[in-house]
Amino acid sequence: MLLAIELPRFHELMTTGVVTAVHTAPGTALAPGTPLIDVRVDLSEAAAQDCPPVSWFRLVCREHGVLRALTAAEGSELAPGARIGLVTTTPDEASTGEPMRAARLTVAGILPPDTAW
Amino acid sequence: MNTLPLTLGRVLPAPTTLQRSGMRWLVPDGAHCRAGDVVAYCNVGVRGGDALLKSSLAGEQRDWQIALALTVPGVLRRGAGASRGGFLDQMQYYDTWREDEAIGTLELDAATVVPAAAFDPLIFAGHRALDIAEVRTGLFTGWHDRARAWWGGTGAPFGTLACLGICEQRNIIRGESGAFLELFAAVQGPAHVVHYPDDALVPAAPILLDQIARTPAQQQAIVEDIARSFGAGPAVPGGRDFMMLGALVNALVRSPLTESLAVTAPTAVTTADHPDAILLSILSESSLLLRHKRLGYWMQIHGYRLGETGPAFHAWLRANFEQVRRSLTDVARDLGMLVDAVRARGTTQVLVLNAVSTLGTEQVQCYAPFPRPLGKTLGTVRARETNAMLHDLSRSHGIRIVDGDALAAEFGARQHIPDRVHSSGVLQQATRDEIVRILHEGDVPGFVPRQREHRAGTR
Repeated sequence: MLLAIELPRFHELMTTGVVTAVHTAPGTALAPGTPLIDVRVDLSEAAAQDCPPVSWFRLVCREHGVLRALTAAEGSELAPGARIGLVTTTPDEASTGEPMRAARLTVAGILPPDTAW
Repeated sequence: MNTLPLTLGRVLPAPTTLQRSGMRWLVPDGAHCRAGDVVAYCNVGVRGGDALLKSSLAGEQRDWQIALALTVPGVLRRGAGASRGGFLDQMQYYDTWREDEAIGTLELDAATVVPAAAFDPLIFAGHRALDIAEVRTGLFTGWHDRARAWWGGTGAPFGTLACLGICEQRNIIRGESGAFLELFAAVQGPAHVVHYPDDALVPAAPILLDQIARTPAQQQAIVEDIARSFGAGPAVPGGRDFMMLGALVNALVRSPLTESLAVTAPTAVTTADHPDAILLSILSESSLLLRHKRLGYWMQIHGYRLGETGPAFHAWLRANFEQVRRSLTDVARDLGMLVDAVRARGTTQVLVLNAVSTLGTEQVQCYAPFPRPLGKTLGTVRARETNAMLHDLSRSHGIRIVDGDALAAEFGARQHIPDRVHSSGVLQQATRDEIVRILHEGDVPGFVPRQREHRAGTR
């Protein structure tokens, strides 16, 4: 079964998220708990703002399968709902065509990277 | 129907007199107002050479305002000529504060007893971050590195609350308009509230401890070192870098928790030598601080502020400061030392606003996938660990926790504080009420909660 990995809408008001880390690569066997990507969401992206409402999230897989494609590269800016990868539940099935459904994901709020400058 | 002349009343002990601007009205003519509504304000200054008052309010003279809150409800009728518009309503040079002068009338509700005074004066004093930061556009506007207010109609003893946190604390204290109106609506007074914004320096405990202990010679050494080192690299600082640096220097060489502040009343001008209570935010205690390589002092600037500075500023930081990581144990130790230091100077209550540990959009069914310790990766776990540390500190040092975490969970974090920092007005009001409750419970003078129907605010 072909599943789509889609960028969740982390906030009602978010328009995009920026990928800050990629934890896996196509061909990787996935299991519940496999980290996929980290995403930075800045609700002030449309305009500069004092103390911008920025949050960081990690997407973690909740399915067994094989990652067949991952289009989310570090630094890429994506809209909520954007397809960022494809998963097949078995290694030898085709990864073409329309996915049956979205892959189930865990969304976790993570700490910002520890950089002062 | 009784009509009450809206006389200004006395705000300073005789013979000191005040210059004032024309009145700026905050309510329309004919509006029905409630007790506590702030209906007008003006800019003021001391007339003549009252040396004590002038020195006490040094740095605040240009952003000194008095707002007038009604003591009883009624229909407001503006007096002709009370407001003259333009600069005459903004500069304090064009009129004199006369205690028996009426600026309008109030048609009292039938059941209202005629009060002794028409107004409770709420006095604002802003210490400009930069002398050229002149913003006379409204009620307590401007860029201030210290902003304070007090109910000025009654005498001492004032209770002083000093507030040092980051932006999650700011609107709880300053309210929707930035002029403390909601907080003062919540207390009977005489209360005195001082807010130190985190524009330049984040008030983490080691920084506050440094400021308390720093001698004038050490302050001078910091200034001289910065003068020598800033711009010493190949990158040339821009104007904005210099302004950021200036704000930073000003913040470094002062000590918010040991400043003496003048508070005025109709009968006397008194000095608050130390705050009776301090409100801190645990979010000020970041896990990474900067320490000066040679002089050893601590510093922290918000990352988003650094993002707005240029390469010369960054180069100066890299050349002169090292990054020091702090564990929760370190934070607990630093906060404990700070509590001991301020208690030794007379502060009785230390309140700490805790961290919100609920993230409305988080969906974690299992923690196994995340590296240990969880608190180094997951923000919500880190917040819970931090809050647990505060409970330990409450037992060991008697700090009072303002449980913003519980309030966020009660109101709904997703709706009321979606990024765990910036909260809704409703949640801010609930947190404000909790702060007042704790201050009252801790016997801080002036912070007796007021009945809800009495509010200081604009309409």
